[in-house]
Amino acid sequence: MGLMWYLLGMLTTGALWGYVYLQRHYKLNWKANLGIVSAFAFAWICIGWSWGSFAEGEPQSGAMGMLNFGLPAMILAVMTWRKFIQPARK
Amino acid sequence: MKEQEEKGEQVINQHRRQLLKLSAGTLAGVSAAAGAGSWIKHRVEGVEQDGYPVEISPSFKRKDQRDVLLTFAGSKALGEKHPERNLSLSNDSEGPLKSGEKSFNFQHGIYQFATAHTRADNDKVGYTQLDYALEQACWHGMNILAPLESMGVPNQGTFGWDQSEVAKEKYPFKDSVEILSAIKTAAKTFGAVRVGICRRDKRWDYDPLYDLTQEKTLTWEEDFPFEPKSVIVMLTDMDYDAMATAPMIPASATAAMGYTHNTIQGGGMAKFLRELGYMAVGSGNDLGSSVSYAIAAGLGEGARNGALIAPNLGPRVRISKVYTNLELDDAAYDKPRDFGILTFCENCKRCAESCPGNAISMDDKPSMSSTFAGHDDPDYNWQGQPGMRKFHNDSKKCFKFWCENGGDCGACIASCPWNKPDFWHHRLIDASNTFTAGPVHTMMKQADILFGYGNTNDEKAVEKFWRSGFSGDFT
Repeated sequence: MGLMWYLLGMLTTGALWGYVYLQRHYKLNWKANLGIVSAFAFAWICIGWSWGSFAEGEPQSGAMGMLNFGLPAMILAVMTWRKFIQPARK
Repeated sequence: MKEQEEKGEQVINQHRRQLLKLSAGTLAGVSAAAGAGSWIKHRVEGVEQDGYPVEISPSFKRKDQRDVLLTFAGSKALGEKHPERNLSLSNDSEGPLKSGEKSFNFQHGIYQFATAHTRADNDKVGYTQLDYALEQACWHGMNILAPLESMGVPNQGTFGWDQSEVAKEKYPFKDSVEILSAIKTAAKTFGAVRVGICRRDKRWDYDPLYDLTQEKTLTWEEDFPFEPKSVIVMLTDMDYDAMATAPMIPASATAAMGYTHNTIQGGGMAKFLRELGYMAVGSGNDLGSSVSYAIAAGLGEGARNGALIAPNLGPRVRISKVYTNLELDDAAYDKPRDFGILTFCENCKRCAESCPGNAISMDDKPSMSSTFAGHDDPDYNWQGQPGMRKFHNDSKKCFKFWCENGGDCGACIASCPWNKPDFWHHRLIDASNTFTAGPVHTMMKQADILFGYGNTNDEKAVEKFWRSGFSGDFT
């Protein structure tokens, strides 16, 4: 579990870095910001939940975690990128 | 030139406004998160209650230990005194005896239960010689340290009533806080996972007490060695993987180990207090209702399945208690707490649906007396205790399943959504369950099923349990 928290910390730092990059190169409105934050939150919970579930020996919970949090994270990320970020290049 | 200056000033002003908006937004976000966080923390740690959090009727009567199911089942004399009790529960179906059916005999039942390990079946997963060997080994400690305490027999071994060794001089504690800290630290040393201290409340004590080994009635006034003032309540947890095998025998093994831990913790705490100059007697299933005292000591809430649900541990705990004449300042005693657990129980019913004996109430709300079939027949509902608002279960059906099963089940513990191992995502859900209500609780129960938790009669769980110690590192 220690490794999971370390990787989630790395992911959070990386995401902040990516966000600063996006802010510099795209004009992000509130919808884009909301989409980015939501996608990141879902992805974060997906990793934490699924890793924790597999670690405790509950693979069904791990799979459900990926389905319930990972899939929305991917959909939100793609939609936000296509609809609100890509068209707003500075 | 002037135009350029004006344009520059406009850009600076725009940046200032953006910075101001960003700062205000950040401040509002941080404040909202901190406020919500502290409110959730307040709910998760339990909201202190002024009085006992369960409604008690003025007509509530203390429990006669001769009406406690395990005491009756273990007593030949009580069986002979109350033959009607052995003619009230159907052995063929569930509930009250119908014409043409064979009745369930409690004394025969306990014999079947106690000798089940001799009928181990190596072809039946969860009931093999391996499973029963572990169960018997887990009972071994209790059988030596305080024999039959799980059956409610008082004055046994480490739970003995002898006060001849009480130190002549009391340790000079500075104040109640120092006493409290010493007691709680000692509980931690004995291996308890939670401890709380409340005033002794006669309502939760059996009256009279009964020793089935001597077939003798005992009173608090004449037989108990002192007038208790306080009760120290300790929780010990049971193994998650073992409990997940319920109702199979590894679940009985971890429950048995809980009783062994109780004899060490309760007995240890009583000895500690006697060495400090206070009278003290340790207790498990004897002397009084452990769940009621644990609620009073703020350790959890009484649940639908009749057990204590403790935050982060669920019902996967065993309770020991220590009666002592030590008295603290009023403010030093722990207070009952509302963790939002009973509200969850009202909407969940998972334990009742999982109960193989159909012993647990399916009522929507707690009631002041039993509502199950036969509740109004005193010959059938002899073990009931009306006058307390809770879910009244038919413990006779529960016990009957134990006897058929050859082990003490635990399906209501394993299936409970509050019973989870210590992983962050479960704490997240526990926290949300403390402040949400109604349909959200029902949804959480359904999600628990979909995510694969709380299964019973799961043969894979037995396989998983017997591999769970392989690494040799249990930290």
